[in-house]
Amino acid sequence: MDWLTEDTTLAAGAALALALGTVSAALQLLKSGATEERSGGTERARWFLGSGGYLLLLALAARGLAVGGWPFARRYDVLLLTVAALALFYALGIRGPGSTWAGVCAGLIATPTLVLTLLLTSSGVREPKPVPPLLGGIWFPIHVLATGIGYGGLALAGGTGLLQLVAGHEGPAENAFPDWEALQRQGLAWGYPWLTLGMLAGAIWSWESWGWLWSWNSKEILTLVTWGLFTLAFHTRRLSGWRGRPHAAVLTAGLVTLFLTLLVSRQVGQRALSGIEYVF
Amino acid sequence: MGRAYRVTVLAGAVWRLLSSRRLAIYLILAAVLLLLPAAFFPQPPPGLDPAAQEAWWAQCRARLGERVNALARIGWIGVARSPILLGVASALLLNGVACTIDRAGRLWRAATHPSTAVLPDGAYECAGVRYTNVDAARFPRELAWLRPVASPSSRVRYFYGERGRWGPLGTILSHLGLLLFLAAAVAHLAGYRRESLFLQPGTESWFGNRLGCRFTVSAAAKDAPPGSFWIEAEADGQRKRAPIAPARPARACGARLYLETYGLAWRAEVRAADGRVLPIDYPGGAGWLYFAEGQTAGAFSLPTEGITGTVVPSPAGLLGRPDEALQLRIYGPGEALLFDGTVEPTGQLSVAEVYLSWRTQVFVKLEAVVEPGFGWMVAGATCLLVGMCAALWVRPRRMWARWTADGVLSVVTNHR
Repeated sequence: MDWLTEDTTLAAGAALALALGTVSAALQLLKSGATEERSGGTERARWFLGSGGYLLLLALAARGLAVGGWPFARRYDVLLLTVAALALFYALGIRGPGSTWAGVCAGLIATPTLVLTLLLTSSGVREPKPVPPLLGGIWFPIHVLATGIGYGGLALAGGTGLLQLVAGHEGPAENAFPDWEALQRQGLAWGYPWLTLGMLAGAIWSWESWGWLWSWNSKEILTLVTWGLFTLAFHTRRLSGWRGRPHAAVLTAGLVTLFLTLLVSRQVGQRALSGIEYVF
Repeated sequence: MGRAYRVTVLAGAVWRLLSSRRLAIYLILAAVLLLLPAAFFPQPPPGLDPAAQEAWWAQCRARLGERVNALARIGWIGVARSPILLGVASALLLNGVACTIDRAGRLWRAATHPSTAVLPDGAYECAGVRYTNVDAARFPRELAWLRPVASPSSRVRYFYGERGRWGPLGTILSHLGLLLFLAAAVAHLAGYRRESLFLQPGTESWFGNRLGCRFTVSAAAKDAPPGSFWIEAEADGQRKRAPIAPARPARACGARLYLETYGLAWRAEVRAADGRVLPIDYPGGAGWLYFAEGQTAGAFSLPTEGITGTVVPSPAGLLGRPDEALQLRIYGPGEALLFDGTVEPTGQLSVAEVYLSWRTQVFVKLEAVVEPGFGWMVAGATCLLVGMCAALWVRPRRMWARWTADGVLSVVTNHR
C-alpha cells in the first residue's frame, strides 16, 4: 500500500481523472449542445473532475504527513492546491444551466496545468520540504490556502471569459451558449473574497515576519494586478458598453496575470544582485 | 439666477462624473496598466533609510544605466511612490467615496424600508410558480418562511417574505473598508519609522521614536530554540521584558522589534608585564570579534607584539549561547604556536609575557518598527471582507404569494 502515500502517484491519478472529466464534458457538449441541464455526460464530468480534486487534496495531505506540517514550501504545492480548488469548485459549486461549458472550461485549465506541472517539475523540486521557520505561524498557511482557493474560483471565471471570447455569440448554435455572465459571476463570487483574504493574510504574515505589510516585489505587484483586473470585472459585468466581449476580455486578462503570478516567484526571471532584483 | 443655475448644473455634472462606475473602470484600468510593467522592473525594498535608498538607486543606475530616471518618472521603477500611481489611487478613492455616498441612501432605504408587501392582483395572475392543493395553514417546506401580511377575506390571503435584504449594504461596507485602507496609507506615510538597533548585553540602545525608551538584551534559557532572546525595555520608569525570536517580534515602547540577526561577540583585553594595556586589532576596526550568521571563526592581532590569534566558538555558541566553551589559538612572531586549547567563554591566560583576559557575549541586531497604519489596515480589511461576503454571498430574496380558498398558491419572486 506504499504507493498510496506517494503523492506523485496520486497527482498522476488526479491528472487522469481531470482529463477524463474534460473529455466527458466535451463529448456531452458535442452530443447535445449543452442543452440538458442534468445530462449523464455532465454528471460524469463532474464526478471525474471532483475525484481529481480530491486526489490532489490527498496528495497534498501525503506531502504534509511526509514533512510533518503544512506542505506549502514549494510552488509545486501551490499549483496542486490551485488545480484542486478549481476542480472541486466546479464539482461542488457550479450547478444549473451552462455547467457542461463550465466543466469543459475547468478541465481545459486544470488538466494541462497539472500535467505540465508534473512533467516540468524535476523530482528534486517535487520532494516535500518543510516550511522554513520564518514561514511559521498561522498567517502563512492561511495566506496560501485562501489564495489557492481564490485562484480556483477566479481561474474558472477567467476561463469562461476566454471561452466566451473564443466561442463568441455568433454562429448557428447561438442558443446553445450558456449564460456566460451567470457562470462568470459564480466564479468571481467564490474566488474574489478568498483572494482578498489571501492577500490580507499575506500582508499580516509579512508584517509579523519582517515588519512591513507590502514590499512591492514582482509577485506582490502581479497579485495586485490580478486583484485589480477581477475588481474591474465586477464593475464591467453589467455596464452598458462593457458587457459581453469587453467584460470577457477583462476576465481573460485576469486569468493570464493569475497564471503569471503563480509561475513568477519573487526571483524567477530576476537576477538578485546586491539587493537589486530585476528582469530587464 | 442664471449663474446659480449654471453652477448647479455644473456641480451636478461633476458629481455624476465623480460617482460614475465608468470613471471607476477607467481609473482601475489605468492603475493596472501602470502596475503591470512595474512587476518586471526592480523596486526599492521598503524601510530603507535615506542613505540606503541613495545607495540602492546608485546601484540601480549602475546596472540599468540612465534609463532608470525615465523609468522612475513613468513609475515603473519605484512604483510605490510614483506620482502617477498616487494620483490615480487618489482619484479612485475620491470616486469610491462619491459612489458610496451616491448609492448609500438608496441601498439603506431598500434595506430598511421594504417596498409593498402586497402586489396588484394582476401580478399574481401571471406568477411563474403556482402550487395547487395548498392548505393556508401549512405551506410547502420551501415556502415556510413566508408570513401573512393581509387578509381581506378568508377566501384570499396574501403572504410576503424576504431574506438577505441587508446583503446589498455589503457594497457600502466594502467601500468603507477601502476608505479605511486610505486612512492606513495616510497614517503609514505620516508615521512609519524603521530603525536598526544593535544590542549587546550590558549595553543599551535608545530608540529614537520615543524619548527615554531604552533596550537591553539577554540570552534565553538553555533549552529555548536557537535565536531566542529576552528584550528588556525601560521607559518612563517602567520595565517590560519580552521574548524575541526570528519571525516572533516583541512589542515594546510602541514599536515592534524584529530580530534581524544575532550571534556571539568576543572581546579581549591584553596587558603587558608592566601593566600597560596593549592595542588589539579586530576585523573591520570593530571593538569586538562578531560571529554573525555564517561566520564560524574570527581573528585578532596585537600589532605591537607580533601576536595573532583565532577564536572558534562551538556550534551551540554560534546559536547565541554565550556560556559555551571556545577554541582559542595564539601565535607568536613567525607563526609560532603559543597556545591551542578549549577555553571558557570568560577567562584569562598568560602567554609570551602578555596577560590576556576575554569575555564572550551575545549580540542582536533588531529592527524597531512603528506602523501607525496597522490598526486601520486591520479594520479596513475586516470591513472589506465582511462587506464583500455580504454583497456576493447574500442574495436578497423577496417573495410575494397569494393563496385562494381553492388551494392555489401563486408565488412571485424577485430572483430565479
